[in-house]
Amino acid sequence: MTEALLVGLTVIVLEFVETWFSYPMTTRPLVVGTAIGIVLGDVATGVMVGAELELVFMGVMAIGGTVPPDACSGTAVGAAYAIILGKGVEVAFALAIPASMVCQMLLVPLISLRSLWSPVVDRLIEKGNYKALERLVPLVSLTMFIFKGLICGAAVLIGSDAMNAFIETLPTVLIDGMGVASGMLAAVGFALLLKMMWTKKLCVYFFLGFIMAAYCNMPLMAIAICGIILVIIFYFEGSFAKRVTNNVSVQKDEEELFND
Amino acid sequence: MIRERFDINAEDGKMVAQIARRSHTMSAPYCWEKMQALAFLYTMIPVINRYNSTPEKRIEGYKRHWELFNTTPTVSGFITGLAASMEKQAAEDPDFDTASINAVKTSLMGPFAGIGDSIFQSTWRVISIGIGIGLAQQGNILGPILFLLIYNIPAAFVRFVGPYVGFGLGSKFMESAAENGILGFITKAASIVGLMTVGAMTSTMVNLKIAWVFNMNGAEQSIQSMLDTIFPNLLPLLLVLGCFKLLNKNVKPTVLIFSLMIIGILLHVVGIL
Repeated sequence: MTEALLVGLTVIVLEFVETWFSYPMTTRPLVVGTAIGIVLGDVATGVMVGAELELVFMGVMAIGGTVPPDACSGTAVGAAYAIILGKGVEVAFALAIPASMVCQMLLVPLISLRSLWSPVVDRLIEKGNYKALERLVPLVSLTMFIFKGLICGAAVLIGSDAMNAFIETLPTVLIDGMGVASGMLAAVGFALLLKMMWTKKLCVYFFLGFIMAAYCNMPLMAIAICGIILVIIFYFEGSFAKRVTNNVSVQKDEEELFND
Repeated sequence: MIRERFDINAEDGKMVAQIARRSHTMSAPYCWEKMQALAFLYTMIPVINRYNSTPEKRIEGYKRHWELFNTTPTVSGFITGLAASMEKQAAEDPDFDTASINAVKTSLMGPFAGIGDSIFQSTWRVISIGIGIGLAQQGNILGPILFLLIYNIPAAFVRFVGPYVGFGLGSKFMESAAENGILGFITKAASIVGLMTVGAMTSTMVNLKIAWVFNMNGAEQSIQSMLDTIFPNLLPLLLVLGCFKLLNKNVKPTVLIFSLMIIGILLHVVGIL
């Protein structure tokens, strides 16, 4: 019971910080897993579960008003089970993904319910009652976190015993297989990221980064810095600097340049 | 010091700081039909109240900002600051066409979402995760702490500076920035760095190794070590590209995740992975 309560509250707090402070990334699996680890008293497991799930959910990000599988609630539930049942990262993995899908299905109607507030806002604007409007904003945003917290708390409360019994029946080869599969799942996250950034002209840089890491074993930071240096070279050596200074005459070319 | 830079007086500075604070809530009351409109209105309330004293004018102003708006919250401050500077103009100049405020907002939210998403949501987030995750995989709490710090220091800077830049430089500069292609260049630059990091992480963070060993004239030969000498981490690369192809064919990520899990478990049971 206390565990369920703690998980629910943690989710509410993290969601609040995320949306009220302009996405400081507190609902990313890496942070959620750590926070659940802290409140349930097993930091190391929490951090590890968070890291593994982060790789899967890496590409999952609300962009342009889409609703992706809910990484936050999935991680919260998965990490909580991993710690309560003491079954390790593989089990957390198998549970977090279905949990995130269920939460996603529940969240779409929850966000839709927010539209019910619109007539209230309209009425307050007509009256010019700005004080009430200011009070309404936290109320509208809170509706969502509280439901999310309730869902996660309920999942932990109801599911623990049933999950434990279920996992006991699984053969070890299956659990090991989940570990293998979890290494592969990061590919989905990266593929989702690629989908956002990939263009025919720019895709060579993906392979450049891959080669630098695979053959030269360069660390990530070094590769990112090389990327920044490349961009600076393009800015000064390439045609861009010239185009800005006399952009009237070359507007047409420029459209071609940035039209990818 | 940022106030002097953009020539904003103390009274305006106080208002801009308030805008910066309120812009942070941009995605908190998100809804499907008007998206971030309520938060934008919330941000503009002090501005409208300051420049308009009659209730009629104020109500008109509230209505103006209760319209669809959507951009990356991290960079929303540039646009809220700009909208505030236009509200100021509108209050000082009776001939000012207030419809242009929404026109500018709408024309800028796309380009700014482009930059915000490509710099912060894709590139910088991935780089900072990449730095933190190595430590986190060993269960070290410094991993997530590093991630939060590395991501948030530049992001917080942009969040607080945005409204000052928007308010100080005003609509002309922002529009010309959107037109002359500098925003496009930044988006492209972020994509280049982002793609290189994703490429690097594909190699280091996707785990796919063939465990199968075959017997050749009594000598055991591991397929994985053969592959490693020719093309290290070829399998993770192919796996990512395969997933990417399938996503482009409109296979849902959920379906992809579940099928990969099942395939992974089956191949492990058979002994290939």
